[in-house]
Amino acid sequence: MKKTTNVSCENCVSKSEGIFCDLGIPEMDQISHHKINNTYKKGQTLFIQGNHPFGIYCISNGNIKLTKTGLDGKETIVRIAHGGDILGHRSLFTDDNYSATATAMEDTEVCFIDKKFILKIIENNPSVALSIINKLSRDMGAAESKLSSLHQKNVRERLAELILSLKASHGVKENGRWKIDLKLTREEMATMIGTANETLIRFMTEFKDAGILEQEGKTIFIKDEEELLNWANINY
Amino acid sequence: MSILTSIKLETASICEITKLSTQKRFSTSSPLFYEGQIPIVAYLLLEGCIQLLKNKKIKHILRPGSLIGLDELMSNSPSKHEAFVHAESTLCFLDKSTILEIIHEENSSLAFLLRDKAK
Repeated sequence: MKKTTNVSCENCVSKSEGIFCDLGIPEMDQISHHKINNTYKKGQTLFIQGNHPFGIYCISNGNIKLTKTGLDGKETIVRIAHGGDILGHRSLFTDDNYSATATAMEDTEVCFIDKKFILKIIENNPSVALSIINKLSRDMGAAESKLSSLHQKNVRERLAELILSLKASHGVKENGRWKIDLKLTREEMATMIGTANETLIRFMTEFKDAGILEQEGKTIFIKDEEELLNWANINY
Repeated sequence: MSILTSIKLETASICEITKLSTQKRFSTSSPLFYEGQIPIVAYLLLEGCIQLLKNKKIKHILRPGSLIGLDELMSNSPSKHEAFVHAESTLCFLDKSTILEIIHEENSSLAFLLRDKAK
């Protein structure tokens, strides 16, 4: 069996966006020594809805989709986590089982830290607790926005809002337009805004015809951000 | 080809582990870890069964009393097999911190066993 060496937190590509960004080198070394570093291939699951949580997952690079399966067996994407994000942090404060399934959308590097160890780190370094509270607050804000969007906005507005939020998390400026650097199927996009596949396709065509979006293969480009903001009906 | 390190435990050791960790029943079948990955905890099967797979083919079926992932977890070594737990199986989990606590603080037969296996 080949022994592997953990990638140091100090050299993590997402260090500045992670919860350990304010820690000193000795503390980071301690975490680097204890954590478990794995690469998940596209489609592999980190955890499954209903299973017991053991600790937190820190995403170093790549994208993870969090899906909830309803009683009818339908999957809904509730969130897309990327480099610097953490998963399973709610399990630190409750004994609840995972409320969603986490699946790698591409080859993704993830570190795992068990609950006992992370609680010890928090006890000695309050900055980590503050970073986790910050993440929890942002998650809560995003969940509230999504809930109000689903109740108050029509599909066109929700689609515009989704594309703007993908731009904020995965947007790359390229030749005067924004490239959404994340490959999502139409079905996945439809579940994210709570609509049918056919409806989403119809509205995507409308956005393209209006000169707001462009598409090359599966990649979406935003051509007219200002108009997209108008269509989203928000002060983004 | 060596299989994933699986240790068949005596009843006394199983009792000690169940006292130190939580037991959970899996309502659905799910992967515990994939081929080439380091297990995030060590798993003790109490009821049901775990399949060990390589290239999606079943190589071994573990029965209650088997402890897997300990060696790989403590030595940071990727597993050569995928472990897949069947629905309605009950497992006990030992995370790295708990294993280190047992190894460093306890003076029981379990501590000796874990020290020996997690070298």
